[in-house]
Amino acid sequence: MTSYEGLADAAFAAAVDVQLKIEGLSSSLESFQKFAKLLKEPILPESEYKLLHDARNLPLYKAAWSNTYGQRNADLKPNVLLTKIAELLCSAEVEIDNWKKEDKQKVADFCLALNRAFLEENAKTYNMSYSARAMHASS
Amino acid sequence: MRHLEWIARDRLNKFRDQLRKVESAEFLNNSTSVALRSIENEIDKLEKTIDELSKLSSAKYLFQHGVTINQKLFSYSNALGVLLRSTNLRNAFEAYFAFNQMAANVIDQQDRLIISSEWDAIPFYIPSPPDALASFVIIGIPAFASRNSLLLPLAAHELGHAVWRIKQLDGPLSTTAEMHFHDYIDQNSDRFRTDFNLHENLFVQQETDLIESECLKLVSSQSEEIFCDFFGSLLFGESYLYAFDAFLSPGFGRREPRYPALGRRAAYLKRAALSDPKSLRKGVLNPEYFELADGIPSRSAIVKLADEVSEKLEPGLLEQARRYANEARAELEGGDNADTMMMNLRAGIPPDQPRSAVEILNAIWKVYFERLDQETSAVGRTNIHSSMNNLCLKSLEIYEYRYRQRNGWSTK
Repeated sequence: MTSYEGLADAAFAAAVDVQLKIEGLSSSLESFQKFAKLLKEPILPESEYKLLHDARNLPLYKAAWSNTYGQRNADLKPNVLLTKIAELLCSAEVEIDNWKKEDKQKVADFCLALNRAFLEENAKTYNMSYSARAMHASS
Repeated sequence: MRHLEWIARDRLNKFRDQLRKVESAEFLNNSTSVALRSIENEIDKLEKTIDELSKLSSAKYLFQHGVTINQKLFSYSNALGVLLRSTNLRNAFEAYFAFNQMAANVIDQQDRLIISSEWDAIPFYIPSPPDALASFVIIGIPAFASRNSLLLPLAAHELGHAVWRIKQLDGPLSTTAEMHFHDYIDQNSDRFRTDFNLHENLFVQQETDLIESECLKLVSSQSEEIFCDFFGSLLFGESYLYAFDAFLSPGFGRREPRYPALGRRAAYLKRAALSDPKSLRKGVLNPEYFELADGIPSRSAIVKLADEVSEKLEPGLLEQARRYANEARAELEGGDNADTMMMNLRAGIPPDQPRSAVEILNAIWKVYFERLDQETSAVGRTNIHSSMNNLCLKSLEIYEYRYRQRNGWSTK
C-alpha cells in the first residue's frame, strides 16, 4: 500500500506540475496525472476499494479541501466530497489547459494542501513507529 | 539564491557527506551498500526538485519542500545510524550471507537484510522504514549479544515481522479476528457484560464498538508476535527455543498486552518446533517460571478478551508461518549430514561441508549442552560458550564459502 510519504511526494509533484504551467514554464503534467492515477489505485491488491476512498484518510481530504475551497464545501457527506475530489482531478487531467488561471491555482493549492496533510500524517506514523521499536522486539 | 534554497542545499550536501563516509566503511556488506545507494538516490531527487522550484516565483513551494527535506532527513538519519552500526566489528559478519540468503528467499529481493549491532537492550526490527528503504528488513541486535552467534535464531523472529509487513498478512487476518470476536460475545454475552460492566449501561452498542476496536488492535499485534514466534521456531527448530530461553528467561516481570503471555508463547514454540515436547532439555522454557515471568496475573478484561480471540487464530497463523518458513530455507545440497557435523564439533573442528545455518545452529546448541553438562565451574562454562561461539561463526563462514564455491557469488 502506498505510504503517507509516497502520497505526500506525489501530491507535491502534482502541485509543482500545475504551478509550473500557471507560471508559463515547461510542464508535461505527467506528475499530476500520476498522482490522480495513484488515488484511483486499489487500496490492496485485488481489492475494489480505491485509495481515495480509504476512510482513514477522509479527515485529510476534508482538511485540504476546506483549506482551498472553504469550510462550507468540506462539510459535505463523505461520498459527495470524495466524488467531487475525484471529478476535479479527473477533469483537470483532461482539460486544465483550458481553465482560468484562478481555477488552475486552486488545483495547485489543493494538491499542496494534500501534500501538507499527508506529510503531517507521515510524521505521526514515523514517530509512532520509531517509539514502537521496543514493542516489536522479540521480548 | 533564496535563503531557504541555500539552507536546503547545504543540509542535503552535509547528509550526502555522511552517506559517503558510511559507504567507505571497511566492513560494508551488500545490503548496507544497496541501502546507502537507495538513500543517495533520494537525496539526488530532492536536490533536483530544488533546481525546479527555484524557477517558480512563489516561495511557498520551496518552503514546503524544505519541510519535506527535514522530515526525510529525520527518518534517514535514524536509518543511517543503523546502517553505520551494521558495519561495526561487533556484528557477526560470518552469519550475514546465510541470513541474507534466507531473507532473499522469503521476500523475493536480493541484498535487503540489514543486521546491526545496536544499543537497544532487546532485538528489534524497524516496522515502517522510510520509502527509500521500504523493501529492506532492518534488524537490530543488542550490542552485548550481537556477536553471540548462539542467539542468531532470534533474528528469525524479526525477519518474521518483515514477512508480516511485506506480505501484508494483517489484512486477511483482521476479518477472521472480527468474526471470532463476535462469536465470543454471542456465546458469552452474560460474561461479556459482567466483565465490562455493561449490564446497567445505556450505550451498550457504542461501548461494545469501542471495546471491539481496542480489542482487535491488541489481537492484531499479538497475532503478529505469535506468527513471528512460529516463523522463528519452524525455521530454526530447537535452536530457536534455546536462543529464546537464553535471551529471555526468566522474563521482565511484567505482562506486555501487545504480546501473548510468555507462558503461552513458550507453549506455542514447543508445539511448533518439537515433534516430541519431552525431547527439550530439562529446565529450558520451564513452564513453572514462565508462568511467573509476566508478574502477578492482573489482566484487564480487554486483555483477557484479546487473549481469547488471538488464541483462536493460532492454527491459521501456524499454517502461514509454516509456508513462509519453508520458503525461507536455504541449503547446500549434498553437504555433511547432522551426525558428521556433530562429530566434528565434538572434536572442536568446524564441519567441512555444513548444509545450512539452521543445521549448524542446532548442532552447535546440542554439543554446547553436552559439554556444559560436563563442566560445573562458571569459568569453565564461559570458556565452553566462547569456543562454541567461535566454532559456530567459523561454521557459518565455511557454509558461505562452500555455497559460493558451488553456486557462484549470487546469494540466491
